[in-house]
Amino acid sequence: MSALAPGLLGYTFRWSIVPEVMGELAHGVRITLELSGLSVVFALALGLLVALARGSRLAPLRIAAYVYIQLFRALSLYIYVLWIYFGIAAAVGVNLSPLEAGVIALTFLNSAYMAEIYRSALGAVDRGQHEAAFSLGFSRPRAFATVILPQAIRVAVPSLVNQFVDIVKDSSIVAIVGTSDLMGVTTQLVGYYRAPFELYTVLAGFYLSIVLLISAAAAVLERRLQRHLR
Amino acid sequence: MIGYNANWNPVFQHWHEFLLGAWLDVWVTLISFVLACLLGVAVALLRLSGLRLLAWPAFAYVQLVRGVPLLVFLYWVYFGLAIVAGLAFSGVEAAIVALTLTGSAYTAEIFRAAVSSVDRGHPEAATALGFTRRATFVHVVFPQALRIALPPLGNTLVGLLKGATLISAIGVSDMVFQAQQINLSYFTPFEPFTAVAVLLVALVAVVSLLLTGLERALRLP
Amino acid sequence: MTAAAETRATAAADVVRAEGINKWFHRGHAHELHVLRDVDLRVARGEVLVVIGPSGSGKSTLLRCLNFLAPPDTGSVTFLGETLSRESVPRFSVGARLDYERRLRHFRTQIGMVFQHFNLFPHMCVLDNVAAAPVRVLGLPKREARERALAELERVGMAGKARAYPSQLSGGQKQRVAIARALAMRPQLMLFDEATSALDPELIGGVLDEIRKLADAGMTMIVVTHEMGFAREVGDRLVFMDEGRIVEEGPAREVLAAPRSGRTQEFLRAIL
Repeated sequence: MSALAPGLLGYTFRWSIVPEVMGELAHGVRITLELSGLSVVFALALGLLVALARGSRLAPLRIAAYVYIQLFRALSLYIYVLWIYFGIAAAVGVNLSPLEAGVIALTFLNSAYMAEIYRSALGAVDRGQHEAAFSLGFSRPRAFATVILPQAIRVAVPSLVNQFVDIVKDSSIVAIVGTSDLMGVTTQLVGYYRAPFELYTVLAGFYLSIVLLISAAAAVLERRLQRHLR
Repeated sequence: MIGYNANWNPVFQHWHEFLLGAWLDVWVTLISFVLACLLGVAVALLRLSGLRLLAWPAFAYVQLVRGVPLLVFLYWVYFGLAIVAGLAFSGVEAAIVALTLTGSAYTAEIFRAAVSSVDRGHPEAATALGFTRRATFVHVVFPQALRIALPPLGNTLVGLLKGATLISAIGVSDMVFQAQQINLSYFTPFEPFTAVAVLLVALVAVVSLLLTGLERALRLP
Repeated sequence: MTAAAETRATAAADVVRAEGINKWFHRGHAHELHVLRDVDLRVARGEVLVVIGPSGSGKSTLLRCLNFLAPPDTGSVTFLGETLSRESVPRFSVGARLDYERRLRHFRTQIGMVFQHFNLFPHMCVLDNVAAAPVRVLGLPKREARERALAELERVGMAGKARAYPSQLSGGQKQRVAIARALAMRPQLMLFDEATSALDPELIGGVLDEIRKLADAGMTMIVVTHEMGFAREVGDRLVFMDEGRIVEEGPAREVLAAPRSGRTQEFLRAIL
């Protein structure tokens, strides 16, 4: 009982295959989420280090961080993945799996964006807060931890979540070098079933759902964090 | 590098192809950007129209397009849409469609936000002076909105340029494709991809500089 | 008493003394601004010093020089007998810098500051705002800090709002919490930087009352303000600043009634 419906231009849609492939697609989703999740966690941490370097009082650290950020922001993930998967692997002599190359590329690339987000969030905290904390005798690290950082985090969360959404979407690129994430699985299925329209439409739907879910969760998180700030 | 002998000769030999490929990336990006802006303005106007019937589908469009990765669009157009419509898209055509779609989600949001952030007082003053609604928009609101929108639009252009590096995945002979060809033919993986990375960084740098210059030139004293 | 002994005795009674203070903004650049020019200042224990002057005269900057929020480029500040000077810290000695910063923080724990825009910590409730520094800077145990915080809030009449957040308070209430927050550190000197300038007119009185109560209790304070009525009633000495210099100083009531300098007269005419 395949839902055969003639398309506008004589194409017969084969939506019936969709239920059949759900299992494999679900597996692909898991890989995508693992890939994205790992990358975002590493990128958050690495980005924080870079942001601290960017704001440090030592000029060489500041400059190095600046160059790092500008360099990575100019690259596209695809080129970076190719460069790491083929280029760096050959040069350094290691054999990276596509997934590993993907995580590395996503991590480094996004650490630059995270660093910028941290920087602007820190800058968004009112100068007066620094003044109040110092005038009370807080040392720099204490003032940062108790007064500045908590406020900066609340400002940074929306942008950080956007970045996470971008990571999830970009992770599809890693499929080109052969991972079995959501995109990769779908491409394989298209090769088997020869129904690219149906399958890629479903694929788009999957990504869309993931993105909408994350955005909704983020909105809830934002509301809770911003409760007392304005 | 542990015992790796860099061989840059293939890269230098094929420098010509690299540049042609880069040029292809650039003009595909530019065409897509212009189309994305036009589409974005249309969608933004729908959203700002205040009529639910028009605004809601526009909003849904933006949410939809923003949730789908560019690569998915590329494959969907090149493989999926082509089969359904019975047409054969060339890689470049499919790329332009996909890039335009992706870009339009961002430009629509940018224009909407820019128009919304123009000072309320200005159109009020214009209306008081007797401007029609259309004239107010065209002569008072839009010019200011354009100035506000310029920086984020510049970012979108750079984003599209970076997105254009994906089009080799549907067979377009851009600079990434050239790099892959060299790797396949000469077995030198490191050099061509480094060259492409350098090219991209250079392109992005040039575009960014031009944009900064443009912003400064248009800035009001 | 000899003149020298008298000077020594007076000096000993000074809570804070600033000498030779100069400060530039954007020093070394084309748009450099000489904000404070050779300023000397003294405040005795229990004294209320009022600082008035047009905007841009350097009043707020002077205050910030005293607790080194904006360290003076030249000159020194002596607080309770201990002198601190930024220019005398060798640039490349890590040890000297760390020592300087440690002494700086010690200074600041004894100087309380109340800002024009309150600067309460928005992510903490009122009680935590007041207790945070005692806990994290003085190392008080939480329970003791909270008791102290409640006592100070009681003093300014805000104990009932201990669990509220700054965003839920009016300007006057925020400022009173800010005063309690500064007082919780038991400072020897209080600095008020235009504490009522950002308040709606009907709330100004309440805050001025709190400041007056503090003065009556013997707190040493420097008050930068535009409220001349307050200056006349509560101020002991008054200083008029213009373009980075102290133009006139003397007993508050005298200067306000009969200013000697032309600029002071101009300013008071415009403001009163």
